[in-house]
Amino acid sequence: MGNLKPFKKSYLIAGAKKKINMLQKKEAKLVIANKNIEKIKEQLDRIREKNELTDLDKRLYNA
Amino acid sequence: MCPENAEKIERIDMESHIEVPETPEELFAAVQELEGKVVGREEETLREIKELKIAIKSLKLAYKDNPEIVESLDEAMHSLDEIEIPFYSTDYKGEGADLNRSYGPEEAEEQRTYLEKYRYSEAKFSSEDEYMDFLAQNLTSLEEINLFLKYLYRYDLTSEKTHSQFIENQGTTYSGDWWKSPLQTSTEYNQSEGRFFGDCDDIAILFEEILSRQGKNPFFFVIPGHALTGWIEEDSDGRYMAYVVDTTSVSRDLGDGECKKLEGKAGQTQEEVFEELVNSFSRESDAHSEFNTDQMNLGFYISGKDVAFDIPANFALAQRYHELKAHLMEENFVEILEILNEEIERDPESINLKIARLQFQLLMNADYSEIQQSIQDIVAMYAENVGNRNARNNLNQTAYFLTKKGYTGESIDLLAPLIEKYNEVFFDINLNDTLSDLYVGNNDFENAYQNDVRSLQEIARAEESIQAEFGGIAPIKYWEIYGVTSMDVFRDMITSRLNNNPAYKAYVLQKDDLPDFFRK
Repeated sequence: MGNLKPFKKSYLIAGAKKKINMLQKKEAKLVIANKNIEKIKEQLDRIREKNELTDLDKRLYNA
Repeated sequence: MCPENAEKIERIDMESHIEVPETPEELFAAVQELEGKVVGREEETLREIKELKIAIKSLKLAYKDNPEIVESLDEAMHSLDEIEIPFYSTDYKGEGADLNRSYGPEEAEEQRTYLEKYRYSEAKFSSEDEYMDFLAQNLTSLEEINLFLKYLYRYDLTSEKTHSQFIENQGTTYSGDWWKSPLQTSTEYNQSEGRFFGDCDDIAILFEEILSRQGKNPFFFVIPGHALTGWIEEDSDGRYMAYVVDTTSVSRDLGDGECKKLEGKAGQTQEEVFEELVNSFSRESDAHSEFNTDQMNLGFYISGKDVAFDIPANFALAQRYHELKAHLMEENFVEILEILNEEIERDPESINLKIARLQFQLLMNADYSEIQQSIQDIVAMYAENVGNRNARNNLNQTAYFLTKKGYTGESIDLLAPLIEKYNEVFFDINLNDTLSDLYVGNNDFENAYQNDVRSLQEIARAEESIQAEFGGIAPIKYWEIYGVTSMDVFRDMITSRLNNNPAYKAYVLQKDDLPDFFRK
């Protein structure tokens, strides 16, 4: 990108647009990730509810 | 997961349209706000995943005698691994996507090791120079360089983060990009990932420094739209191995950077091997010309002086990179002219070398007769190089030097007859813009205006199928990542020309047939 005429402003706008696009995609991905995490948490809770833990198990689980 | 609970991990539709604000102020504010939000959420998500994994492992231990539960837990763990964490992944799906690695947990661990080992801190290194030596001592293999780039580097075009100077070597040459020093590139880290960042030239400059310290003979070179650092080694059989450190072309998104190698065949010259290597990877933004070693430019960053040079060159000159750099550091321009004259004698057909000579003649305030002779030579050669994109860039640059030295009229004589020829092949708003600047400099407002209208018409005519490139106009697919149209670029050009020249602005505004574009 050496010998190009400067136009700083459009350069910055280009960078910012690119970045905002990337961040919005990231954010959207995080929303999905959080939803999936919630689902896994619920599944773990169901497993715990269905199955009584022994004292040893509880100690291990809480470790 | 238990069958009744099995739910498919949701996937995001990356093709969905995303709105972005229009004005620069809104854009930058939005970027800041969003970045803060996303970084916070990222950290929170990573922490949750980590905690969940510990919980699953503990549960597995607790229920180790119940195979059904263990199986469910394994599935839950698998689902957790499936979750895409933006922190460790990128979205680019096009050509070059192989360079965008999604990191799983093991790689994340390895990344932490690399970050710990290679990140600069004042506590670890007594001086910045010592840090550069440390990098040189450790980044000795292709594999290590690639892991270093993979885990510590993130491609980033956002120049506002850097405080690099606008490059201008004492008023005679210029470059549109901001180059960071090797230290600045390697010791400033982005907030969200703790990696250093920069674009192609920043990494090329960094590796030119590191490889030089290793005693290799690297050269930092510039091709249209891209910059790289390369070096060549000879094996015991006399075959050449060519290497380049490449961040992928600017039109690719978020590459990690990679050191590439090509083993030459017996009988191939080093120039052939090198050319083959550079041409072996796609440079989407440079669809108009193959890389040609006779048309390369050499870049020089003089650390400590905040000075950079960008010199048209050929491969033979690239082999003398360190000789040139030493002279540039000392500002021994007479010696550089001697080197250029030697190389021109060897390769009289090289237009690049003649432009380089003209640049140094201008830098040294040579007699006008010498300068005029150089210009005539170059103009004659340009006529044969209409389709050569490097030649166009260098022509633009040459015109700029001449203007800087006050040879505005001569620049128009040089440019005006040629620009028509160029535009027939490939309309270049950048070149047309330089011509308008020259007309305005000569107080020839009518020609400047006509020229600007011509640019506007060309862009409007082609708007459906093209977008702007920094140096001209390229097919839309190359620039969709940046989301900048040729109109955007032209708007910037025309705005700065009108604002910098009130007399020209007044002249334009009294035009009866002024297109609306200019009024805005």
